[in-house]
Amino acid sequence: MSDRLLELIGNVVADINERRDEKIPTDDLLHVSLYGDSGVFDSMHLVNFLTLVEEAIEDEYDVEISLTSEKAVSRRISPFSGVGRLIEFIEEEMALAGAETGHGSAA
Amino acid sequence: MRSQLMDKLDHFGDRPAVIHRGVTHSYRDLAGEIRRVEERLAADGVRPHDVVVLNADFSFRSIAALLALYRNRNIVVPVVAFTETTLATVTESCHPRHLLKPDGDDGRGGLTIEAMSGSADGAADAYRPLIEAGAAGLVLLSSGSTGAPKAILHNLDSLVEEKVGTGTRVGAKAPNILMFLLFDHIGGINSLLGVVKVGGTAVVPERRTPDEICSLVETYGIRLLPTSPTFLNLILIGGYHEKFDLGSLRLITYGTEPMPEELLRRVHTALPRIRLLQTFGTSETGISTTTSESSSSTYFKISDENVSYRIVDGELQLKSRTQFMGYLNYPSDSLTEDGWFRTGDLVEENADGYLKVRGRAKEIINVGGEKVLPLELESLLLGSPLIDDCVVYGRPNSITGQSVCVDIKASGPLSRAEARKHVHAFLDGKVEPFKIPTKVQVVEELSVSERFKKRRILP
Repeated sequence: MSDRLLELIGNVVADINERRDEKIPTDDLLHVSLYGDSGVFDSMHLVNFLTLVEEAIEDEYDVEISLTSEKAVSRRISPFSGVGRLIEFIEEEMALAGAETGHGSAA
Repeated sequence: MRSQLMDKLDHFGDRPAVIHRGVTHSYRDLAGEIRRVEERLAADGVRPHDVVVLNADFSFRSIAALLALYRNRNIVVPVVAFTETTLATVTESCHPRHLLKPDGDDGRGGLTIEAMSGSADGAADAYRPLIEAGAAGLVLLSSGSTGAPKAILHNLDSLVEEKVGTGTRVGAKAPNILMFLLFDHIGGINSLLGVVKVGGTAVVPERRTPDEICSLVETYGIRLLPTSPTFLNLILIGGYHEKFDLGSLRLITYGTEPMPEELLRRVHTALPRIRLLQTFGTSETGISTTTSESSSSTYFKISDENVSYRIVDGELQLKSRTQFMGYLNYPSDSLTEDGWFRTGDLVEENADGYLKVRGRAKEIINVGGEKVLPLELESLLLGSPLIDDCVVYGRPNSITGQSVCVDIKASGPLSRAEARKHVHAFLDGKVEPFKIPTKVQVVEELSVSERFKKRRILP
């Protein structure tokens, strides 16, 4: 699944790069840091980015999850420290959403 | 004043007072109906200062019932349609004794009066000043977006004196007014008292849809249409101003929610010969007499001897002679210590003393400490040919507190991705980057309240 998610995030980043002067490097996307000292976004752009990812997930998987929740923000290892971490968080949230709607097996 | 009201109605005699369901009722008929209701009130033991819930929308009989209850010095609680919350508010906070249905249960029968259960004893201290003054009262329920409605108590004698006056001055051609605003809304009560003041005609709609309203304007040659920005937009979007002849209209007043500048421009362009006037009022302070800078300007002046205003920290505060007496179920924290009513409306004042509403204080969206007012964005977005209407609101998140969202009713087929691209491109360079909506949704219909205000999702 994570390849599909990586591709999905790659598409969102490509979309954002169209309107951005300082392009986000896409050759090693998994290790791009999203927020913080070496992050590519400030807080406002991070919210924009995460909203686009949420929408893409909704379009692709027909499941609604929040990537800007208290849960996301308060993680000891931030899902915004790298795209890889974000994908892990998305997978967890999608499993939970699936479990709640009765489609998945995760509890 | 009570007998003067009847003198006034008698004086207007055969003039048409109310047109409802195709039937014209004269002022003489109205006076007769009021006397008939008064006899029923006496026969059914409705005593002065009893609280009476008047369950009705505008009709010939409901208008007569309202005026009869005023004459009988009752405390009237008009309610167009009961919901669970309004019923709870009325029974728990208003101390009702009687439920009066002027049009019967099916809306066509005769007047019915029933006892109403509720804490009728130990009537609220709030009513005492009215009883001591021998005055009638009026309780309006606010259309709060959250929680129980506020029960707002007015002195009905003051309202009638202020809005109807004592004279019998009549213009050569008294206006006929479409009773668009609701019977249980300060704007509707204001329209009604305005009609009685000048011996005008109240034309009562059966349904408040754009085609019904425009059709009534054509049929009865309506001169004055009080309405709301959202409803005017519904008329334009549906092209009803082209399907019906609105040539009789002299004045459209708009209020109850802020008018986006761009929408006003659209309305003025579509209906260039009709004067457009912004009204301003609150359920607490009544409707003020206003003057718009021009038909294409959202700047207006409060030109009402009865009303003073001041602006504190950008918020408009009002004091009026017809100010409410208090809430029956809330602390009066919307009043300042020195008795000014805090409207919650953010305004700016131009060099000529005209005011412009920038939005509601509680609708401010806070994006990481930066403030966004929905009206500014909505007004800009209405300038896009792809957008028929839109509503901007804040969505909570744990990173910046809130982000800006917009729901769009598009003028044609538009995907979410296309809408987002369009909104971003359209606003780029027009507003600061933090105001650009993060989330753009395309919706079939925007949610509109029963009072034709846009429903905004509040944080």
